[in-house]
Amino acid sequence: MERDGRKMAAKQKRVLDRRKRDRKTAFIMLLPALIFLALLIAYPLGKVVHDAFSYVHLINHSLRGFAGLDNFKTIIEDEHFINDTKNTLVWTIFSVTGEYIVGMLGAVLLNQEFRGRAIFRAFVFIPWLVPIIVAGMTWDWMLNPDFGIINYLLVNLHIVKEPINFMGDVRYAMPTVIFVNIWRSFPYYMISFLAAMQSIPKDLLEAASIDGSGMFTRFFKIVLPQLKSVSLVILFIHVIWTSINFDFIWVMTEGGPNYATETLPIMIYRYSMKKFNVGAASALSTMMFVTMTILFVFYYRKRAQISNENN
Amino acid sequence: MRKKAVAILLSLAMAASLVACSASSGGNKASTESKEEEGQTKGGTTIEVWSSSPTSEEQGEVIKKQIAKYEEESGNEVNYTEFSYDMLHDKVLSSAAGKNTPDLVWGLPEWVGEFYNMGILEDLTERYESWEDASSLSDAVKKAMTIDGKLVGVPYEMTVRAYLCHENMLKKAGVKAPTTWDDVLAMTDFKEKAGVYPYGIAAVGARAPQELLVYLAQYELEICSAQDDGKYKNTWKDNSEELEKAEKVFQFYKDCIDKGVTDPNSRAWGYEETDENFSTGLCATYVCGNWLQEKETTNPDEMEDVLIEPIPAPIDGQEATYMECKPLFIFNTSKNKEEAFDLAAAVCGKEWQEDVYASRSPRSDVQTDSKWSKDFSALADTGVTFPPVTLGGISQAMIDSIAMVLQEGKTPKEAAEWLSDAVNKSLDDSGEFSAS
Repeated sequence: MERDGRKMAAKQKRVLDRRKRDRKTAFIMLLPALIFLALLIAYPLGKVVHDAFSYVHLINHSLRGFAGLDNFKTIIEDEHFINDTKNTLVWTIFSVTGEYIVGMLGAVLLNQEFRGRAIFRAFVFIPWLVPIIVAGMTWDWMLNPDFGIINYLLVNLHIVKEPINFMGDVRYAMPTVIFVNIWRSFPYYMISFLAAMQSIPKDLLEAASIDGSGMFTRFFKIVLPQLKSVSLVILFIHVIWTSINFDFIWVMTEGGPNYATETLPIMIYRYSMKKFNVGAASALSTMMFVTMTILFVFYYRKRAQISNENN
Repeated sequence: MRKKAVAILLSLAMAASLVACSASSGGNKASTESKEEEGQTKGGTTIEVWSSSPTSEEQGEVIKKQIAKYEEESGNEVNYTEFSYDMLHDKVLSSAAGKNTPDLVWGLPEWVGEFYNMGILEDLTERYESWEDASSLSDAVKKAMTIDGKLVGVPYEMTVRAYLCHENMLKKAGVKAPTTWDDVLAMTDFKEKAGVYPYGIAAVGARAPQELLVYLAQYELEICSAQDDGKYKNTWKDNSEELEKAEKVFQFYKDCIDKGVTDPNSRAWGYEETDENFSTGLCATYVCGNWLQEKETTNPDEMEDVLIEPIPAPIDGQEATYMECKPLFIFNTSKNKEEAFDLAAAVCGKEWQEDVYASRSPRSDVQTDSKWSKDFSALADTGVTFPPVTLGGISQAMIDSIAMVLQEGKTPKEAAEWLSDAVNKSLDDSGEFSAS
């Protein structure tokens, strides 16, 4: 009896030792990734949050030490903050909505059977492959009021009397930048939706058709619900990518004319590189980071909900 | 066991590479040292140089030839990289924050104040005094490179702005080159007659504050001036006469657009558009520098009739132009200061200047017979420069004030008052505001 007990205890000890060893091995295997995360992500992020609550100015060295909420106050009291927040919302909402709609329409069309479909699918993906700087500069030239092909066509086809200054007029600048962004990004949506659409069983659609469902009913009642999961992922990713995007607007308008296309990431750039106020720039970065974190929590919950529904 | 060893090795490799990357100064030092070792075999040093992009392909070729010649003669190696001005500015700021600056930078005069205030510039006064060519630079040029009695840059290019006119277009419209603001604003039927707008303005980008500075100087106004305590202040709101003059400047901008003298699209134009429009004949006259001479090669037909005149001034004002004296910066974190100054002295040397900057040299002994050299030099006496303060926020405020008048419909008075406050706020932010 006693021997059995000792055997059991020895077995338990071995199991525990093995588990301990496994945990140790797992930790060692994870160590490179942990070091990578700590130094390249956690440290810079921590530094930004630290600077947000400190006076950090590249020129004015008399400004040092703990700033409390002063940097946040500087940002909120900035005369362009409300305008830039509004611009960020408009830029993000209209870009993502436009990309979603155009991407979905493109996917529906390319999901039909027609000759040369494969070639067409490849060509439609080209805007996504064009580097942002090239796309931005090309559209900038095409939309130029003096040399641009678009104004040339609009005037010569008598659609407008005078060339339109798309990028230089506060009324047109934001819609123009959004349009070009949609042009560049919709192929990504389209390909994602197309892949998801092709996994929908054809029998299901045929059955619905036999039951008398029209084209729109089939789309809204069968296709769209099947795309719920991919839609959530793609929308969430693009809301974040678009709202924090700096390069596209910078290449096309640098936030102008007269702040008409300035978004919060451009404001961060101005604070750090033009006004040299790194503390205020960090405060705005922290505000954006918190907003994105809230969005992520929302996404995570929604994703879990969809997974539960599917299971 | 093998798994563990692999993981430990991977961790060590990762940590080592991250340390190497994060301590960028150290990393660069290592690469510089290895280059230096290579250089040592030739008896020289590697000088890290960041430059603005040359104004033309030809100029770029000549610069590279001169660098090769310098390398051969000095035994030093020059690691030369080109950037746009905006990129260059941002790269210098980032590298300065990491104490990893290059040895020599081809810069803009607008950066002198901010780099000095950041405490990153080397005091070159002693080196300059012992430089054998020092006497070839005028006092005005030396003054433009000096802050608090310290010489902080070596000048490599100097230009003033002039009023460039397409003579044929003026003839077609039946007018002479304007000499006053009133003459400019009287050209209301010019577009009808000549088919192009008569007068160009830049309202955004680096050019806009430079133009505004000139128009203000024509009324003897300064964007900010040194006070008794050595700090700076915009004094317009303390002096009604000054404020009135500033209003007149903004009124001129407004009138240019309202009277159809200037293309309304120029509300959003910077130097790229304005230079291009003048050199391609889309605008009849424009205030610009003599680098447009290089457009004679690319646009020979449009550029053959260019006249060079003084910038039109208000009747109750005076002549003024913007003097742009571009500096070569040497940073106090550089390991090769002596070699960097040696290269800077070569760039400012007679041979290099004659080869690369013949029409716009800061040296008094380098000039050409072309109109682009002589006619521009004749205007140098009326040249004004920016005060040596941090200009980032001030330049942006100047651009914003023009936009207030041209885009937001604000009155010239509102724009002038706003600019005065914005300049003082910017000075306050950078610790340069005089409360006296």
